[in-house]
Amino acid sequence: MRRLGVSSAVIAAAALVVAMVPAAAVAQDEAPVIGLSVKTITNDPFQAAWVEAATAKVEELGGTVQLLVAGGQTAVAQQSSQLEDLVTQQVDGIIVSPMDGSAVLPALQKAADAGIPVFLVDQPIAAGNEALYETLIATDNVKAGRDLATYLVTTMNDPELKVAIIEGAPGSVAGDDRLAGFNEGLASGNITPVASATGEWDNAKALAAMETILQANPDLQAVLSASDVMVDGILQALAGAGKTDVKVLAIDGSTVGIQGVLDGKIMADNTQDPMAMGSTAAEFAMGMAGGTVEPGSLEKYIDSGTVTVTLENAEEAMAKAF
Amino acid sequence: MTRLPTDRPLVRATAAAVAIVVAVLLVGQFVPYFATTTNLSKVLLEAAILSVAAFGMTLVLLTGGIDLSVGGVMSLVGVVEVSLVSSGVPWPAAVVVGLGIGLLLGTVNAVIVSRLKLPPFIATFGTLGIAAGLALYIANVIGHPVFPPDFVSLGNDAVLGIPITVMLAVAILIVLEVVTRVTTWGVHLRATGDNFAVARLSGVPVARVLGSAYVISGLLAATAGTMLAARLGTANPLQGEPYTLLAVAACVIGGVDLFGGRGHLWAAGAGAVFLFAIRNIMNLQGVQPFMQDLVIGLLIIAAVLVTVQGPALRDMASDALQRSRHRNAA
Repeated sequence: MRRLGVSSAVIAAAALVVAMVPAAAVAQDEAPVIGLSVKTITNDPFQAAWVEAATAKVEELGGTVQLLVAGGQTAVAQQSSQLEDLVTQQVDGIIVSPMDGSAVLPALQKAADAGIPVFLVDQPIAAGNEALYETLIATDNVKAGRDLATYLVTTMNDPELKVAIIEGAPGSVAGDDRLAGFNEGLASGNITPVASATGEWDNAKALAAMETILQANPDLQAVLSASDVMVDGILQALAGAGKTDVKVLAIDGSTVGIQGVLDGKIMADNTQDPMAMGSTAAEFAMGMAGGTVEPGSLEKYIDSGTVTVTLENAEEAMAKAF
Repeated sequence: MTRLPTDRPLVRATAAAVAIVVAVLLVGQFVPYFATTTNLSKVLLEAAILSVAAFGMTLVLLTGGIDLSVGGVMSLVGVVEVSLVSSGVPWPAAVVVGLGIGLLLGTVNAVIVSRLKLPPFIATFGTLGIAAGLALYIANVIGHPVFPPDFVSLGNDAVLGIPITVMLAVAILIVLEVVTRVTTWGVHLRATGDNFAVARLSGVPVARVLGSAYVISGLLAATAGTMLAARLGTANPLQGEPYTLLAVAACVIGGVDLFGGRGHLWAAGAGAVFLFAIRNIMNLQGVQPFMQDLVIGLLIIAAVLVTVQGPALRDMASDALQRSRHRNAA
């Protein structure tokens, strides 16, 4: 028992030390605080890009940012928990990219109950919950998937084309939309994918999935990846199996993706514009905090646009890549 | 001075309670919004989910084993329950099925560990893969259904100010404490953990006892998975993943010995509360996740050092103190 007493004393002391670490500047009464909730910014240039753009815009407009990062591509419960912590701190606005469109609903309900406006970027929440957010600024992911798959089908012009799909993490609406888009685009050429597996937005998992698919489909000709973040894993698996002639296509328009197009490793890449997403969301959030934008006055969905990038337009796409 | 033996546990419990209140108020001075009822209630609500899983982990750790399948079972049970509910099964029945799955996987673990004599690390690692894989497979098939609001409210609401998850966790703790102290099985469990060889020589059916710890851990993991699904209102097939290591961390911080024999169930619960409180404080202070993981890692090391190496460190400290006193006296 004494052991327990000593250890709890040590831990209590540690807790106090942690509590006294002055991290981000918590609200001074005048400057509005905008909370940002994101899954991770490590190894995810897309999320890092919108967060940076949003932070820059908020600070430019005179506010401060409280950034909470859930710490992983699948840390679903942690994001919910962090959203509630943002509500507890009574931030003036929340910008969130939800990992799981349903798991965040209880937390967003608490934000709505507390009167804190919520702005979604990149990923929607489950349909039917429009009252829980002011606007969603995102790529039309179905269109991005469809454009990419259609490009593949028309370029290859092969009715027996063997295509595999590497999907995003389960629960991700963006991932699901891109998958639906891929399937629509492929269907337009009467092509069915030979395999479709999740890469969980992670290179290691995508590598494993790709290897498994190659085992079952040694005559694979092309791979559609739901994101640039999984491309390194996919390329590694292909190289490892000696299948360097398999065409790889992905969505995001990150520097990894565009460079891949320039180097000839990626056939085509559909872009996203995370900088615009973050910046626009931040403007609206600060506007609502300052009273210049009326709650409920925004369009529910703002399309941030997508472009199919191939070798022809890769150079100019690089300028906008994140 | 005569010391009344009955006073001591009560005095210690009261002292602990007072210390906790003081600590909370102190931290509340430095961290805005921490010491509010809404926030503390939320911390306890989340910690309750982890503590149920940690209770199961404690029982297994007490026997000198480990259960790595906890996170996978939590995810799988949630996914199974949501798929049943979305096909029209009323949620109470779905929950019963979910708990049954936990029992089943726990039994698989029990058989592999106690009959096939595979090391618990490997056995439960295997079940983890099976459970997590099944969860992903089923989720792929069913899409994203959500739970009905009355089920979700069980994971988010409070009655008379106390979150329902907390009441459930406390009830489970009381039942477990009573059973492990009063029943023959409970006595055997502690004996097996305390000293496996002696227990076996004294006629304790060690294989059965060992196995039963895993069965109960599976059931408790299923309960925690159900609570988590209610909390999030959905069943993402990966939502239980972090909870395996979190459960181990809660046990370690609560002073449960990783090598078996020593530890208290309620202490694992306290460890869970601690973990979530620290996370909450760091969230409120805007500490970055890399720092958050670092801090929790350091806390775990500190806890292990103190609880396992504690007596050795204390002896070293008192030796050093005595030596310095002798030097000064000379």
